[in-house]
Amino acid sequence: MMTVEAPAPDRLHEPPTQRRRMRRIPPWLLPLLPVLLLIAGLLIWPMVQALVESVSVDGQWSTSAYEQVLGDAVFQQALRYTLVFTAATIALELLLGFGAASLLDGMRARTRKLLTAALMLPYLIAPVAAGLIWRLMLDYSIGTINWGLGLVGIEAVNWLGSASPAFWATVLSEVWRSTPFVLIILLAGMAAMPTDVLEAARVDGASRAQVFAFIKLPLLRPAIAVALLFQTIFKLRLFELPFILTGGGPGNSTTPLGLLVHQYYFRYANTATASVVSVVLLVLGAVIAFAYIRWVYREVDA
Amino acid sequence: MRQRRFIAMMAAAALTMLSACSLDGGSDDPGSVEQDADAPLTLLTHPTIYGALGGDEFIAEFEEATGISVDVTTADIGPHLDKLIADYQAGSGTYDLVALQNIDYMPRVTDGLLPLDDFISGAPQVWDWDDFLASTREFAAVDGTQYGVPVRLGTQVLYYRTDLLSAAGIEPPATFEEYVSAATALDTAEVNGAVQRGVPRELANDWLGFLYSAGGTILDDEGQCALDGDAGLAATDMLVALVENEALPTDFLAWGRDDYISSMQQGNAAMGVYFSPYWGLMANPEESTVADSLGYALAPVVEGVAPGTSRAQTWNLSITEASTNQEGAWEFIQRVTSVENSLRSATEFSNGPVRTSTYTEPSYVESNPVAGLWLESGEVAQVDPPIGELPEIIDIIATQVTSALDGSATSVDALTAACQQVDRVLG
Repeated sequence: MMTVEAPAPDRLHEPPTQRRRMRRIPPWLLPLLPVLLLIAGLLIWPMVQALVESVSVDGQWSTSAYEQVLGDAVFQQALRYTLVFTAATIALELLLGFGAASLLDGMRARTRKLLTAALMLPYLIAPVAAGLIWRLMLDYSIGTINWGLGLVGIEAVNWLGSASPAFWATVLSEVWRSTPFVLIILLAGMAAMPTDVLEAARVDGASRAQVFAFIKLPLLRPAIAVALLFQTIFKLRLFELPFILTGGGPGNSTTPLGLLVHQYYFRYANTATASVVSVVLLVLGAVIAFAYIRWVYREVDA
Repeated sequence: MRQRRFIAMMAAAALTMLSACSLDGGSDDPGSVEQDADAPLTLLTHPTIYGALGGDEFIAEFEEATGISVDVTTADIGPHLDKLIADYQAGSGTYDLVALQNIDYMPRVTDGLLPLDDFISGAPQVWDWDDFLASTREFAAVDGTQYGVPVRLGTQVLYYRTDLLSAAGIEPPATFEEYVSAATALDTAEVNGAVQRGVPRELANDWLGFLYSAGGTILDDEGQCALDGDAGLAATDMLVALVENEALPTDFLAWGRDDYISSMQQGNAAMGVYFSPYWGLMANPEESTVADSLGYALAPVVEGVAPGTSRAQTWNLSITEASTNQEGAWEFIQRVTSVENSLRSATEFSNGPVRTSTYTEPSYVESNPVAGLWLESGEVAQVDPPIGELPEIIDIIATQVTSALDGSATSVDALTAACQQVDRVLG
């Protein structure tokens, strides 16, 4: 019987698909591996741990923590507050950031730099300090906001001691602190805009409104998406500002999910419920992030 | 493609930021810890307690006398437990000594604390454990095991402006009804009839004082929620009446401890029920514009309840199991709670005494106008049960009492909802 010896492994004789796979591992990746492992250990592992903690009670697999949290009125209120707060602040920040960036973009370079630096100041202030500043400004009796309202004949508002004004107090102070972040991203997007396209549109007789709507806005879409993405993540993680400004109150009307994680974990020592809220935050962030990315990709592909 | 990659990278970076919210609940048992009699001590304490016990002055004396250095970490109520629990979780054994309130002695805290019974029974006679008020000793013990040595007792007393009450011909109120009517009568555009803390947890803490003053408890004998009983209703209705009569600051639901104290110091309030240890702050002539006209009385109660019944709170010093110098830590406790230092901290730093000998010391009685009331209320005061669910119960009370105060629920509905939630928490 004739036998045929199998050929020795030889890279040249490997199947073509395998060769392609080998070639796909780029050499620059190797030096990055330690860093990637570190990231996996420090960031991915806690995420996995949170997932595991959220479905384990007394060492047993269980969804009881999800049932407990999702059915809890305090969680529902915190979720509602976080989502409405996120939507309100981002809408206002985009509006104000876009307006300010447009104004700055049309200015001379020196003036633009000076004003941009000045407008960035609120963002450089720690959220805790910002909370304390706004707490004083919004004080019912001695706050400058009510004093200003009084000058124009408007009755003093119970900003921090009543649920609805307290919501707007947190929105107002966050918008003040975070708008510069949106502004700087949009300003960078405007600066990177190809001038020849804008020039061509003007030569073709496009009005300012048309240039804005059909040229500038689509070109700014990636920058807007980045601003939206980061701001959404920041808002979902909200903690310090309401903690300082309202203590989450009155009642629990301004308690965000971030504060609830702290409450469940540190005050109630309930790792499972705290992990559930963390997972909810993570899922919310991921869903919104992917929605933004799809939106931008669709436009870029188009 | 570049845009795509850029956005994808941004998304990945942003999502990893969110993962900072993720948690690692791992815990290591410190087990037996090797001891070093010269090892430095780290004390975790509330800043007020630190100051009230002699602060830097006492630490310097201790270090000189024993040769053991002491690092001090201060944290507010809430964060102090956060730090301790985080330290347990990390198993790092950062703290040797920790100042804890009586309500902190719940299982998740005592699990990492050293039982002090052997130290106490072996302590020299001159330290005199029996001199500590019996109630305060009990508040720092769990199931017969002593986890803390009391260093500070606080009860609730009524602070009032003698000039305003006397001008209006009003006696210091002794009952809830008198309190509401006096506050209503004394309220003017410049001065609030009464002052009250309203930020969630602080409101709940004050409300619990009123609950006890009305003869109530958090749990009944069967361990079920008792907040919706007559006492709970009396406490809530009293606060609702103050709101309806506009006798409280308009934005009191945003007021915390500092707002309360500064309001009294600045003469913006006619009266208020608050913790006795703060009398020194309220009456400090350097900070108070009305120090000379500040009066003190037992906290108002519902008729039939022992006069002065209110909520007591103690601070205690405990030693962690993870301490590498437990003998040194015990030496610290003995010295800071000695008869001499207890008297000194009471007279010089306005601390709330825990020793009978301090209360009966003529120089202290002479210097503290609240001393008699303090002792009287301390004897009848109630404390919260040290149960693990207490923080959740306090948060439930805060939410539901707020809903009664802002008019979104009646007192009955608010307390019924509170009890439904509390019973669910208690399982």
